[in-house]
Amino acid sequence: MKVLLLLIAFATCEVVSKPAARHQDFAFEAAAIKPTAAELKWLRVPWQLDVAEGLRLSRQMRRPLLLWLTGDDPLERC
Amino acid sequence: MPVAANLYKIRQEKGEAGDFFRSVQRQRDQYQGLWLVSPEGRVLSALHGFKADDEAGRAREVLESLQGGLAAIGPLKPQPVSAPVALPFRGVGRKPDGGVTLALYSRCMSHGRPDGPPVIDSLQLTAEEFAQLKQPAGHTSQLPAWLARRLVRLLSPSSDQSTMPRPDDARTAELGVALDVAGHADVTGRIEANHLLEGDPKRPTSASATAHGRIEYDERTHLPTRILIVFEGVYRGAPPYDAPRETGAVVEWTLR
Repeated sequence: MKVLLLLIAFATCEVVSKPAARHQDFAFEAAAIKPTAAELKWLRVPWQLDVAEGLRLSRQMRRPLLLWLTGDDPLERC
Repeated sequence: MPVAANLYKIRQEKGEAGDFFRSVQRQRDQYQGLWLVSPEGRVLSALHGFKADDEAGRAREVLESLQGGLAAIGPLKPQPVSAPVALPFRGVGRKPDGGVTLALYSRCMSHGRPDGPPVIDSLQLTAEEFAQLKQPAGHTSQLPAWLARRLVRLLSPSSDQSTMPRPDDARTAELGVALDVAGHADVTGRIEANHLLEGDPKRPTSASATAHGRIEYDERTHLPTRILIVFEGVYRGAPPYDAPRETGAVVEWTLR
């Protein structure tokens, strides 16, 4: 009886842990493709996406404004 | 104050932001790039195009341009600047209107390791479109064809949108879903596309990739709570750059 209960418990653990393990496998593969932290450093700049708001803050803080314009949304695919 | 904006959108703005952009461009005419502007609206320095080919050289050119501009207005104390998270829903959560933003990445690979800069991209889904990704009723199903077709953009490992396949370029776009255990499903499939660079028939590109991944579903709503799909493929650029290149891509999103 104890052996049977142990077998059931083991089988249940297999079912419960399998989906999580499979997701981890894909996460590992994905990590090899995704940008590294170093490659995403430029995103740590506190970019303001609203030009009018950036202008307002620049004047309020009396500090120059760094304007970055591209032919698409700069923080995404150009 | 760092501000990032889309050139084509700011050009069309009629208000203060548009006037500011037009003033900046009159002072230093360049198509795109960086301008350093004083609070009074005077262009202090600008940069468009690089002399250096390497990343370190280009970083140096940006710094030199900024430092040159700052020298014109005297010393500034460093000051913390805060801004709201620029893209708060990219890859995570539901937007106030119920839509989601899938985070997309692609790049050239070589023997399973990165071989070139990453492409950072997004795919917006409306609430209605997201609802179509519900857990299938049966054991197996397909993700909507419109989604698979929109994902062909992942086939290009270049950030330049002129290289990016559009949904109409898809030759094959099939992503199957197979329920594994309750609330979990395997995703497998294939996408292929032919794309003309800048619409030029003399510059065809082609690419294909196989997909595998997982979707997890909420047990009550049956909507996805986590999506992770990995693509492995091959990209051929326009001649003479049509030697096959190994590529990798990722789609990911999580509810929290």
